[in-house]
Amino acid sequence: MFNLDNSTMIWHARLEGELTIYHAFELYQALSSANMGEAPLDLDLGQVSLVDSSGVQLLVLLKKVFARHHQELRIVTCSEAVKDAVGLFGLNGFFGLTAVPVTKGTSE
Amino acid sequence: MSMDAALITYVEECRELLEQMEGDLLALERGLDTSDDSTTETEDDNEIAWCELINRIFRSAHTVKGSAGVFGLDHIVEFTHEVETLLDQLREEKITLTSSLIATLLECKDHCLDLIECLADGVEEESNPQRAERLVNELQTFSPPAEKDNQSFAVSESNNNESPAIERLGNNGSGHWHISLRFHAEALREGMDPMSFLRYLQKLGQIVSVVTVSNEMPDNFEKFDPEACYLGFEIGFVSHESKQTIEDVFEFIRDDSQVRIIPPFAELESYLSLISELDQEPRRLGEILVECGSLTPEELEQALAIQSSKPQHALGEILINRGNTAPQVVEAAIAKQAQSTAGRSQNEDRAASKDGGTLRVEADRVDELINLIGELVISGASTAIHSQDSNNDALTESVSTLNELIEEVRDASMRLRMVEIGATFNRFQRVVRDVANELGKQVTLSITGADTELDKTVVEKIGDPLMHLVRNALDHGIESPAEREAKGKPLNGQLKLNAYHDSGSIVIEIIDDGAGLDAERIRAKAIEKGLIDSTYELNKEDIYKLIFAPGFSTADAVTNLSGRGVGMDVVRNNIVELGGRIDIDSEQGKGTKLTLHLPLTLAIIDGFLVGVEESPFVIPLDSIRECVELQQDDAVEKNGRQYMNLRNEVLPFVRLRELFGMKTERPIRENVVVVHYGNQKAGIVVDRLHGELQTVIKPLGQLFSQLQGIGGSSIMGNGEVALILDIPTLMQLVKDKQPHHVIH
Amino acid sequence: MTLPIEKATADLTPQQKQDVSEEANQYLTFRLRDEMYAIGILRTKEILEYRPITQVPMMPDFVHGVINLRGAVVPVIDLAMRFDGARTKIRKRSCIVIVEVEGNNGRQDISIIVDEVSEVVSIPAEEIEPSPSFGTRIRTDFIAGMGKLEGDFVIILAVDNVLSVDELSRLEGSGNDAHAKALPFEPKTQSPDDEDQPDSDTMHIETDSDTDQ
Repeated sequence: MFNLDNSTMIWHARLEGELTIYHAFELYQALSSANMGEAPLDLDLGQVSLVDSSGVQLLVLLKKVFARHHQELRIVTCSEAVKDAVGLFGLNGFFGLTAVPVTKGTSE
Repeated sequence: MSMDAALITYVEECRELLEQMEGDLLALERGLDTSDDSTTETEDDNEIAWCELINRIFRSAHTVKGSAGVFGLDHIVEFTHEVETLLDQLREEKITLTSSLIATLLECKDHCLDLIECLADGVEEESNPQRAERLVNELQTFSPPAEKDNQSFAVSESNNNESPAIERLGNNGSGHWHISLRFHAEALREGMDPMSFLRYLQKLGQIVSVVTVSNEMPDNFEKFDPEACYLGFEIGFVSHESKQTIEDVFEFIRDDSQVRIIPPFAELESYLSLISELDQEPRRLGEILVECGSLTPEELEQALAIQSSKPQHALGEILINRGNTAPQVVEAAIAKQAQSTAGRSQNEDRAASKDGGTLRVEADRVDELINLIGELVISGASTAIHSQDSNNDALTESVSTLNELIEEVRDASMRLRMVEIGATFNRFQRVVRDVANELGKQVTLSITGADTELDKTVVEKIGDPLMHLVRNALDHGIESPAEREAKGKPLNGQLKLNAYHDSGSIVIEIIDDGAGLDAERIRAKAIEKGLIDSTYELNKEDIYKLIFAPGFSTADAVTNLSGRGVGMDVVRNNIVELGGRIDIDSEQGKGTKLTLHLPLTLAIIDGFLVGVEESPFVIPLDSIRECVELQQDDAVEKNGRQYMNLRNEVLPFVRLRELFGMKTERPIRENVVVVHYGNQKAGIVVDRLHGELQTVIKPLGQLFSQLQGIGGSSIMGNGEVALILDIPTLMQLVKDKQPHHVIH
Repeated sequence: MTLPIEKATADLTPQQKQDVSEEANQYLTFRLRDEMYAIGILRTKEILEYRPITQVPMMPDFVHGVINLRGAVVPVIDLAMRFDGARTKIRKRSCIVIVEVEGNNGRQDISIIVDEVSEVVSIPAEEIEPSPSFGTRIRTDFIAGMGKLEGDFVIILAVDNVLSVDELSRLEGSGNDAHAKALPFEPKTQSPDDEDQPDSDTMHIETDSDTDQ
């Protein structure tokens, strides 16, 4: 669900469930849109239960796409799983995750 | 994109490793026996061989464990860890090798294999906890007292004695390793998740810092493949583990991905070469190395200064000019680097060169290749026909050269499926040991011709029949030590497996020096069982063949070894189904020799092409005795029987056109192909004989699975499909139609 | 586990999404005697000109034989024979359609002979009615539905049932048909459709254009 907040012109999106190779293609299809990156995006990852390398990779891609458009991609909430995976890859700084609140216990 | 691919590789690799481990353990055991008998001059040699064996056993256990860790198979890690610990103590000579220790280790190997087989069936947990516990306890009784509660992963640092000097500089104790990884694009799809590698590393030490490298990744959606892997990592890692242990983590990706491991206190140049090898902006990578804590900023500056002042590949020069390394060390270092570029450790390279450099390829891919080449042969043949019709000599010439090449390519590709029979033979070492122990017999198995090659599909199918024959030889052939002593034979029975090639087929011999076959007893038994009439005059060979008759068993009491509900008749049928046969030669009191003749491959047969109406049929050449013209005068047809007089012999025959319900009138001239199966002979009457051909067998598929008399199909030079007759079932069909006792 | 993303309405769903469902609505139509039939386009792999078929003996009559499809041996089913026991006559426009069939043992290619391939049409799901429970000329479990096409109905075939390998191979075992043929001295049994059957020579005459060497 991508919602454009008309007042701020910021997209809001929430990913939930598993960001894994088994869903990588679906996710990629859902995310790949022509105007992705034309407005800033606030990403809510608070309900992500599982992340593997393909998931992190997809997030890196998003970040790169937004960087190319000089737009900001912010992770506004993240789950333990996301924090853990991003941390393992040493990408906390890249995603600016250090200050992001972590939701305890995910949806499942 | 399934997780399965990686696991399947793991399972296969483990099977191989465990098999090797078993062979090595048995070799140790044999060594133990001989050194008991004679403590003589070869002891030093033995010593060396022993060390190597123990090392190899250790490495096998270690790899099974290490890879299990990557997959998070904790139960396997846990169990193999215990085994590994003990093996390590053995290696360091803290404990001595005894036959009971070997027996326990063999059982441990069996348990590991069970775990792996369970894994193959999708069970990812301990299948037999009681046994695991018992074995672990047993293992611990062998440990020296001080080491009984060994908690850490005990891997010694001393196994690196083959590493070149440069690496030794600082490889003792803890240190800061640098690991550089570039995963190959298919890693994710193959189930190799970089994240699990990092998590496993965390178990072996502390990841000080990780820098994820994603240069390869596009920055737009169009070029991005969500299932491809674009990731690379530069990892600073502190660990006490040996280089081997750390390298083993990456065992599964080493072939396709780039893995570089720089040990603690390595020369600056190792980093320098890392920088130059990775296709990346040097300064940026250098900064990453600093970020990882692997280099200090000063060291980086120094390294870059050296690099920029020298041409790209003059690493050696740099080293020597700096004056702190001897030339031979430089050579070793360069060699080392060259190897790590190829993603291999020195150890593995050695192993590979011993195996003649092997490449693991899925059997499906080879089959596909062979299929395509089969196609190539077919279109080559039709091109040849066209070129001959064109009367263009130059064209004909070059097409014929082309076809010769194609045939060579076909032969070469068939060789890809060829494997040595040694692995199959070696499996029997254990069988012979266990069965002989159980029977209280002393048997030595010797193997010759282990390097004889045959098609993988044949190898897979002869395992069971061979097993049965070997067990049978142990059970009924070789006598107990007491009997042997009474007969004045050496106490130790000899069983021999031999293989060799003979005119397009492979011959396997199973020879024992046991009691031999008692022709009179077999005959009496066959009569008793109603298999033959008491008036039959049979020669020795025919009598021996009776043991393959259904319902025959020579042992008066069926033991639980060979009497597993499978008779020798089943064994023979298995062999015959493969297009092979068994011969028996035996001398009472001296021993028995079973000779198996098998085709080298199941994918290609030598056939004989015949025609009925417009339809071509292929008859396997090895089932053909002769071809004659049907003399109508000699053919008798009455009471639903058809037979002919073949040189005063009664030969039953069948017309293929009638059997197959073909409707046209039969031609004036007909031909008889005399075929045989076992000791039965029959004639198959066809319209035309076309001649011999070698042809690739194509299965007809499930739809025709119930079809009898036809075994497969083959595509001919003109693209038409010819059916291949299956002589055994065809003869059965004919026999069913005929009144009794006609075919003999 | 749920699909992690709810799809946006505004900017997502590009063309690709549509494509999959569109293909699912497409059918290959063909004529067999006087009837039009359809098979989902996703199930049809290839259409070949008629070519000589290698007969496989001792099989039920609707198993016409096998052909060589670029090195793979593919069975050929006489669909008309399977439906009502009358052999298809081979004509100029006869074609062989390779169909992918899903069975207990995975997918398999099976080919069928049709009188004429017509076209690929799009039949939206709402234009498809369930198969009538009676009054059809062929077995109802062979029919996946009746598609409305320009005021007419086409029979959409349930290929996995029509060409069920499990059923076909079983039939062959039970058919005493095969048995009878195998008896060398039985008088030749005349099946009712024998007079319908063109002998193999005529088949070759009409079709040798594509296979001469």
